[in-house]
Amino acid sequence: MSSIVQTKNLSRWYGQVTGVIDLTLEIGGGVTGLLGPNGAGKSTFLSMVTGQIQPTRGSLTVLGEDPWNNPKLMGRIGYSSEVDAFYEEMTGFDFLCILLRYSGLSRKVGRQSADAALELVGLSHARDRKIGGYSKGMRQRIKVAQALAHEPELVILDEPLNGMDPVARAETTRLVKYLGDVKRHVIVSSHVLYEVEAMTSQILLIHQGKVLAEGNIHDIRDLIDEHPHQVKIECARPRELAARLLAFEDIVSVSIDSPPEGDGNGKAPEEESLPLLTVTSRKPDEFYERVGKLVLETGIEVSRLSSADDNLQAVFKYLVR
Amino acid sequence: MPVYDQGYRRFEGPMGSGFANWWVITKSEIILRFSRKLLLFLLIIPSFLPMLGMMIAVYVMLQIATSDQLPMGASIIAKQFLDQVSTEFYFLFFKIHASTFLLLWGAFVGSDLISNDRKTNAMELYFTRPIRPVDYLLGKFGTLVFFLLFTTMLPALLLYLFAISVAPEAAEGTESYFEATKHVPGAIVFYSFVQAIVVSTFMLALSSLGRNWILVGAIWGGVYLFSQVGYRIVQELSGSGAAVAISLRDSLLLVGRRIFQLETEVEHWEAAAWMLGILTVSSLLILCRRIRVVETVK
Repeated sequence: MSSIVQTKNLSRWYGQVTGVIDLTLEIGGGVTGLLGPNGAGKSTFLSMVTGQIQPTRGSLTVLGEDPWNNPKLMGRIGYSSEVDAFYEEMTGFDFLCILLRYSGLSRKVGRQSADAALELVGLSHARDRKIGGYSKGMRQRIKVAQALAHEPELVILDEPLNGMDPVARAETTRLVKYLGDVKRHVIVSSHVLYEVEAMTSQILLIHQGKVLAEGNIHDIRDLIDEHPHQVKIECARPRELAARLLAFEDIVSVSIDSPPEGDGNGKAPEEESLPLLTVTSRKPDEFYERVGKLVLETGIEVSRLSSADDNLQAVFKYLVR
Repeated sequence: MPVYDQGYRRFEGPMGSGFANWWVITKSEIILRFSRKLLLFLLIIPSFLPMLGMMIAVYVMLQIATSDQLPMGASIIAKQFLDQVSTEFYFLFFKIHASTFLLLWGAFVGSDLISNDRKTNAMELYFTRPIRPVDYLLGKFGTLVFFLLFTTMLPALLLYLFAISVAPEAAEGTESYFEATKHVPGAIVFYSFVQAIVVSTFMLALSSLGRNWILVGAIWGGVYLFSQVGYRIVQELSGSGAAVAISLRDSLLLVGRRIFQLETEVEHWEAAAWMLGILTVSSLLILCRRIRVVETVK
C-alpha cells in the first residue's frame, strides 16, 4: 500500500524549542499508532500533518499532497485534537452540523452525517444536550465524532482515550479497529502503550522529537535484538526447568519467585499460583522453540508463559534506554 | 456501541465551493447570536428604538401640522419640525447610534468573535477543515458587519422611506423633498459601510489579542470612551481641529458629516479620515499575524 504520510528530514522548531527533529518516515494505510511520552513531539507532528503549522525544514506529504496551506486536503482528513475545542453552549448535534457545514457538506447531508457520527460513537442519547454539560468521556467521544462525521480518508486521533471511562475506552478502541477493518487510514497517538497496543500492531515510536522505531511491533522487537528478552514462565518445577535452560549459551539469567501467599487474614489467593520462573535470553525465537520441547520432554506443568518483550512498554523501555 | 451496525464509507456527495466558506461561518455566527435571548432583548431590539422614536415623531408632527382642530401655533411648530426632517435629521440617527449602540455592539458581539475561539482552541476546528485563514477572517468580519449594518443602514433607510412617504405633505410650496434629500440614501449606505468596516476590523484585531471577551470588551469601551475625552482635552489645549483624530467616535462622525454633505464643525475631516484608514490597515496587519492555530513557544 502506498504511503499515507511521508516525511523527509522533517523538523519543526518553536523559537529555540524543538518540536520534531529530522523525521524521515513513511506511514502506510490502516491503523498506525503514534507512540511516545508527553512532550515527545507527537502533537507537533500531527499539527504539521493537519496543516496547522508549517515545517521549519524538510518535506511532508499527506495523501500525496503538501498539507500546508492546502484547505482542499483538509476535507479528506478528520482530526481529533488532544485539547478540547468546543462551543460549550451548542448541543452535540448542532456542533457536528456546523463543523460539517465548514467541511463543505450541505445542510441536509450534514444533519444526516451528524446523526450517523453520533450513533457511531454512542452519543445519540446526548444528541440534544449542550456540550457544556457533557462528561469528560462524552467530550472525548464528540471530538472523535467530529473527526469521523465527514467520512474522511485519513482520521487522525490525538490521545483519543484521555479521560474516558473503561467502557468508553473499550468502545473507542473497537471503533478504531473497526475503521481499520473498513479500510480507513487512522493515525492514533497516545503516551499510554497498552492503549495503542490494543488498537494496532503497526506503531511509530517518537521520543524527544525523533523517531525511535517504526513498523510492526514484532519488527521493532527485531531492532532490539541486542537486548536480552525476558520471558516469564509459571511452572510447577521451576528449579528443574531453570537448570536445563541454563545449559544453553543464549540464556543470560534465570530467577525464581515464589507464588504469592494469602493476605494474612486467612484468605487464600483467588486461585493457586505456581512459582514464577523469569528467564532472560538473547535469542528469543530459539528460546521459544526450545522451551516447548523441554516442557514436553520433562512433563513439567506450565500454567502460563508470557513475554514482556511482546508488550510495547518493554519495547519502549529498551529503545529509550 | 453499535459500531458494526454502521456503514462507514468515504463521503462522495457534493462538497461546497471554497468561495462560500466565509459565508458559512458568518451565517452560523449570526444564527448563534440571534438565538441568545439576552442579546436579542437588550441589543438587537433596542437598536431599532431610535428609528421607531423618530418615525413616531415625524408621524405625530405630521398629524398636528395637518390637523384643523388644533391651535394654529401647534401646527406651525409641527411644520417647523417637519422642515428639519432633512439630511441633518438622518445624520442624527447615526449620532445616536454612535453614542450608544456602536459601543455596545463592539463590546457584546465583536469582543468574543476571535477571543472565544482562542480561549476554547476552536481555531483548529476551522483550520483542520477546508477553510483558509482569509475565510475565517471574512466570516468573523461579516458577522459584526452584518449586525452593524442591520442596526444602522436598515433602520436609517426605513426611516428615510417613511419620511419620503409622508414629508411631501408637510413640505408644500417648497422644493420637492425628494429632490432635496436624494443624496441621503447613498450617504446612508456608504457611511454605514465605512462605519461597519472600520469598527469591525478594529474590533476583530482587539479580539484576536485576547482570550477573555470581557477584558476585550472593556478595552474596546475604554478606547472608545476615553479617546473622546482625550480629544476634548487636546483640542482645548491646542485649539487644533486635527485633534479629532484622537477620538474614534468623533472621527467617524466627522467623516460621516462629510459623506452626508453637511457642514463640518471641525475643518480637519481629512485628519479623521487618515486616522480611520491607518487604524483599519493596522488592524488588518495585526489580524494577519494573529490568525494562526498553534501558538509560538518562546
